[in-house]
Amino acid sequence: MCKHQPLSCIIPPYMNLKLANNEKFEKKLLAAHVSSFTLDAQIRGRRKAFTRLNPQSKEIVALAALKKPAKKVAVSREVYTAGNKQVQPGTLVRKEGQDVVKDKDVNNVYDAAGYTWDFYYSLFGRNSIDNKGLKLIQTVHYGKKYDNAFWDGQQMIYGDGDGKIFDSFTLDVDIIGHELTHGVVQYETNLVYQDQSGALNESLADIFGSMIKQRVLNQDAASADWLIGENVLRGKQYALRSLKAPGTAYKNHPDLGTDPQPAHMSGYTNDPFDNGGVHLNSGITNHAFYLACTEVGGYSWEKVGKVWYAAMCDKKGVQPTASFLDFKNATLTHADKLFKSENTVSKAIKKAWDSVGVE
Amino acid sequence: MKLKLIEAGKFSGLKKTAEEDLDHLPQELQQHVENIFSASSEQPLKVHAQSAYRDKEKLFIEYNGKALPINAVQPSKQLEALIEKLKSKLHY
Repeated sequence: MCKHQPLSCIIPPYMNLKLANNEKFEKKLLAAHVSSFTLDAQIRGRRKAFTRLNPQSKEIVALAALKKPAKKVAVSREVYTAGNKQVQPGTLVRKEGQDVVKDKDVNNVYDAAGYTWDFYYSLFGRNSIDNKGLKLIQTVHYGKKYDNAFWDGQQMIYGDGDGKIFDSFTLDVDIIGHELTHGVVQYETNLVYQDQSGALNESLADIFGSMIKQRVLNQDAASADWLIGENVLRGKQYALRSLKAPGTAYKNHPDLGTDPQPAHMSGYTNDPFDNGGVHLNSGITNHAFYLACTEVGGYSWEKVGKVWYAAMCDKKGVQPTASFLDFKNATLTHADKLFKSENTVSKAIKKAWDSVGVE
Repeated sequence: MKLKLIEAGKFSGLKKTAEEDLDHLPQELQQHVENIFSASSEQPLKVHAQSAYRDKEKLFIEYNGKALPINAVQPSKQLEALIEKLKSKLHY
């Protein structure tokens, strides 16, 4: 691991950061330290490291990237298996361009990551999670009967589910779109995963996950089911969340009871076990999006989806600790900018936010 | 008095729990749990706010109506073993 640059392994990260940010160094020397720091940081997460560099050093990193021959903009996927252990990324099973493999879960996440990449690129010109062509790394079969999927800041991880209540978390394209969108949010507004900003983070992941599914199925706002995880949660009548009717995704489930998500601010909950209710209160903003889409009509991603994407990438208007109201204001600003001539879009969005009590 | 292990915050937003009555367990362990919770502040529970691990589950222990994130607790060997036992019994 330390073969090429032993220095970067010996010098602790905080020291490399100090060297990389030293404005007194000549550009050449500074570039060497920046290179050393960024190489070391690859292990701990490139994005995190980049944000800690000062503008001068950021420029050097950016310039180095510009010198590289321009690569063709294309999706780049790698799918690994953890072999039911808690390891990541695990063993590589399928990479970009390779044929389908025997493992269905591997193929599911490979395809869904492709749909997600295509959704962001063809509709918004976004080249992957970071808009710089980041490789989409996914690990399946994580842990034993692990009933969860998550984004760890660098890659997606999926469990097989317990087989009783949950099936494999690779079965729903909206779940895979959800996890990848957490990555997009991280590179854009980077919403803090707590309270209202955390619920917005969750909500954006659901909204874009749902839109990705709708686009794959070619469904408009009126014909879509607006459900998240209907295959992952076993039982035909159950799903994990509903954007159309939060609180109804599952009712009287023998093990889980009834979906607790609120659809209105009057039901806002502060759950200390869930970072202030990030998976609960997201129902409110999810529902606002659904209402706006159905009011406007057509495909969700054509108008309201475009507005939500612009707001999700608006680092000025939507700060990391943004509230629901901040996000509402950002959507109204962007609706005016994007659809000036169609003031019906702005009106529908305002009406939707008002309907869920974000005023 | 019962000690509850709570697993929360995962993709599904659902909680899993498991609990154990401490009364029949060694006095030393009971005292350790008592000390942990009496020493903790009364501040509202806020954990992992900056974590990049979106949708990752988080573990808490609850005792006498008060809950603490597990990574904020220094468990003894006995408590560690009890938590491991509870992990295997977690259910919705």
